[in-house]
Amino acid sequence: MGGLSTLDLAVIIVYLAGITAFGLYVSRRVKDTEGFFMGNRRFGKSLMVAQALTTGTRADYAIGVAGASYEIGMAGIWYQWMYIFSTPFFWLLSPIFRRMRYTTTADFFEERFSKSLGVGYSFFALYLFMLWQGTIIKGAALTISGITGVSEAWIIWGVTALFVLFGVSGGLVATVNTDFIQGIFIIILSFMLIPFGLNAIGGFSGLHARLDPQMFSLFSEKELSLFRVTMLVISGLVGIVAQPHHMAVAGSGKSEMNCRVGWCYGNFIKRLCTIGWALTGLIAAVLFSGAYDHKGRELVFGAMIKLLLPSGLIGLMIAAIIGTVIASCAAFMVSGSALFTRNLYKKYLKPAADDAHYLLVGRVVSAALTVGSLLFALYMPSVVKATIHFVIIVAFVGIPMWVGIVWPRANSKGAWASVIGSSAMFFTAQKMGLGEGGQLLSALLVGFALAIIVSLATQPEPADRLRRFFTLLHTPVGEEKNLERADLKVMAD
Amino acid sequence: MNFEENKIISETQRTLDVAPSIPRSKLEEEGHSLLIVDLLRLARTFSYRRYRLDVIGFLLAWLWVVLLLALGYWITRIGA
Repeated sequence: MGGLSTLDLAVIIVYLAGITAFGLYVSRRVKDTEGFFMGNRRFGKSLMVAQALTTGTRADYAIGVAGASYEIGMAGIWYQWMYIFSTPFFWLLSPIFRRMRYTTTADFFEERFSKSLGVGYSFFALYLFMLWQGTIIKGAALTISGITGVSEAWIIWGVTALFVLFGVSGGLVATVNTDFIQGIFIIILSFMLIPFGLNAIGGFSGLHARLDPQMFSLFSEKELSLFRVTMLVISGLVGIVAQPHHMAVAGSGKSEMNCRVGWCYGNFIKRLCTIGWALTGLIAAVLFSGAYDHKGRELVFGAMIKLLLPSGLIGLMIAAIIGTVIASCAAFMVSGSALFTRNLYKKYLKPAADDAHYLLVGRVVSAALTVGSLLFALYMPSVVKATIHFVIIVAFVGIPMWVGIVWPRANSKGAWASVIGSSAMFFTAQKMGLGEGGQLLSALLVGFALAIIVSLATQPEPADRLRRFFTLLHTPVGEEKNLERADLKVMAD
Repeated sequence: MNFEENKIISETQRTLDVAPSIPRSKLEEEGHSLLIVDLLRLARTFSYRRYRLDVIGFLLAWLWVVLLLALGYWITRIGA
């Protein structure tokens, strides 16, 4: 098939058969919606680390960072390292997610603010899930197609069928239980090309001898100035709380400590992998000097695989890419279907059905979301552009979430004003021709200011709603008796 | 019960001014309190004992950030 040897094909087939069989095996335990969406909150530290690593690490990240580093040098690392300064905050945030005891982030908006915000967030999150899945599939298909010569469409449908089978049958349990294997494949993906590449160019000294010293700088005025990086870092931190899959990634651990360790250190492993992707891009800059323009730079990862890896390892690399697609997409698909089923279908369309019905709906919606994401993929200009688009829009929704957790006086009207105002400011600044850093700064300032001013100018949320929400935040996991004493019904535990 | 313990308990119970009936949490008093949730009241409520887990883990995480940045920089210097 295409550029693949029999050995490569054998590696891919063995991997795919093994991972699918394992996913289906563990999925036998999934009997209800709580198990499907949150894995019954039973995950230990190692599974939480694996889940955070695999859900947050995708082949298209490697492709995007390597492509950017190929063109602008080591500074390309910031397309993923923009979250490195947010990572310590994961330690502080994960027990908040766990204590809220919600299944989806839309639950947060509904319980803390209002139903309208919950519904609004649900639609926003469904958009994000489709956007992500589309980007992931597109990035992987682009690379695999470049290596094998097989049509991109065939790869898209094949990979999609695999993760749908995975996610639809086993939900979060199947996804997380295979994350260990996928995690190993992600690390392989990140570092496998480096020794072969260094060998081909004469080691690190060959790298320095053949590249401009500016290529080794962590900042590049050409594309990623210090101001732009700073604003992306701040936006990343503001938006991180509002990423819809983080309720499961940060809140499905058995204990608060499991959630802390999982989310924080799973992401630190990812930051480590990012160094590997940037270094791969630098090596590509030597090997394919001037061969790819700005538009085509994301093809260098596939070109490196084809040029450097021997038979068998190409198959392993393709399997690694497919592995990250399955892990990420299956997790997003499960989270997306949880949002639709719990926050829209169950509440507004069919409130009184039995759990088996909702489980079926969750599975059908999972598949439907995936079809939507395939359509999205066709219109994505580039992986890096999609990533930046995502970081920006999710920050606007992150503002009311931060304010709502920190400040009891924040209310629904302030939250709506913040989301609408920051988005409007961003697009206005864009029209005015401000740089991306300026657009982000102005939008965030307007967002926070409106959340505070409008909340102060209008009535606070009812005291009972606030008591419910903040009692949850002040009741650590393991002290649920306090919730009973406060006459509170816990949503998911 | 000494003065310090009395103070801690009263902070837990009135940690949220708009909803003073939050039940007392033994775990929160023993280090599981959350810095972000209490951010606007930290001047009144902060003590290492109450926020032990947050403080230790957060500082340790920043140490990892510094190590990773140093590793990234060091890799660009190899062979220079």
